[in-house]
Amino acid sequence: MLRAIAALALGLAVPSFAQIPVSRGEWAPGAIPALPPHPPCLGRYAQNPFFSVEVGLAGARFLEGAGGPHGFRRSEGLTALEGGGWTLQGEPMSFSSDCRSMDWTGRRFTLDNAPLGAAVPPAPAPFQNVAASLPQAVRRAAAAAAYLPRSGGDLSCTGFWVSSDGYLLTATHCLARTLRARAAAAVKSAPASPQQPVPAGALVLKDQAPGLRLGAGGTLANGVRIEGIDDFEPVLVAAGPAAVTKHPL
Amino acid sequence: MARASTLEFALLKFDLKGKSVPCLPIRAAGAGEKVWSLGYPGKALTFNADGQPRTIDVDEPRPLYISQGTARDRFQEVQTLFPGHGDDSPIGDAFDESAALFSDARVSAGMSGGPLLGEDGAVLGINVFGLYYRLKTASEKAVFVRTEAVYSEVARLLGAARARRAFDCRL
Repeated sequence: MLRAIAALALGLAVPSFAQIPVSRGEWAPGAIPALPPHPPCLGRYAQNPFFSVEVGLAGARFLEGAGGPHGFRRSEGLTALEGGGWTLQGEPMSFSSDCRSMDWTGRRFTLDNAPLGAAVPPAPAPFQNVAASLPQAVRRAAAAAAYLPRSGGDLSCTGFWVSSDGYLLTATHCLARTLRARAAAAVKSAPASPQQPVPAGALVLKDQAPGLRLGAGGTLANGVRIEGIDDFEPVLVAAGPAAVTKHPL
Repeated sequence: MARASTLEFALLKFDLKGKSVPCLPIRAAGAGEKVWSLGYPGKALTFNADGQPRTIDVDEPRPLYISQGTARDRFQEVQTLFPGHGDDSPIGDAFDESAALFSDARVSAGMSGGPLLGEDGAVLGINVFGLYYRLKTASEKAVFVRTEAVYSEVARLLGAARARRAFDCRL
């Protein structure tokens, strides 16, 4: 019973509250029914930073990296006692004797927070903006950071000037989608070397190419307090591929 | 014909009509050196004065966010800071890890493309993605593309003279 209380307190996966003897917010008087059978170890098990399984009393919850800037996708799974062993989604799962690891579908998961009653993961420390205590050079450097609104979405990006006459660096995935498409089209029009084929998604510009001119609605904005950026005719002069990483910001 | 790069970076040129802007020089990172990550967190997240994250409305001015951390050469060095997350590198197969710089300077959505600075104000890397998301859009670790690798790539694509011109900034 203590385990059930702790599970609720820790917010672990308890998909069906009907299985927990609760009545009008209080524990029911009298004898408390036995808990349903549950896996021998409970807690969140992570295979990597982008995939974890919370094993709960009456089921499991998957937490999977969504591959984009919006965090993670959740889904639920079924645990069952089958043939003397526990399964998750019909696949056998086994735990180490100390509950610190779980094997499932040929993958090894490591305990990410202690099962119940043991150590819980430390709360994330506050995200501290250290702007008030910066080295002088870093403080000065902040003036060269540019805020880049991203067209067609809520998310923005950041860039920074690497020359005083207008060269700016940023990440490829910050470029407007239309610009990336035009750059990709430029790649297709340039024959790749059979020895070094162009990887999918790569942006390659020919030597001495004049660059790709951003159309109307060039998106660089304040940061350095440049107004009317359309007048500045930004040109993409070189770029590497976007989306080669799994979790762009 | 220039070869394809595996580095994520985009170099743009703006015609400033004779105006000049504050700029940042680049240099190679030293292992274990103290670093600062700069950027403008997007709509999804910003930070209160006490450091707590919160969401903001689209019309609210974005404050520049600066976090401080340590430069790490290898993913493994970052991974050991968070035991229990498994050994799989979250870096895509196409990513050139030798050109990557890791840091525990915290980042948030919207800081992509921002600089990672050394104490002298020089840029060591470009923010490309985050690791270990405990909050929905904020990360405790981040991966940066080394600026010296970007410089080499630009020199290879456009020639050394053009690269020198593009990165012509002195403190």
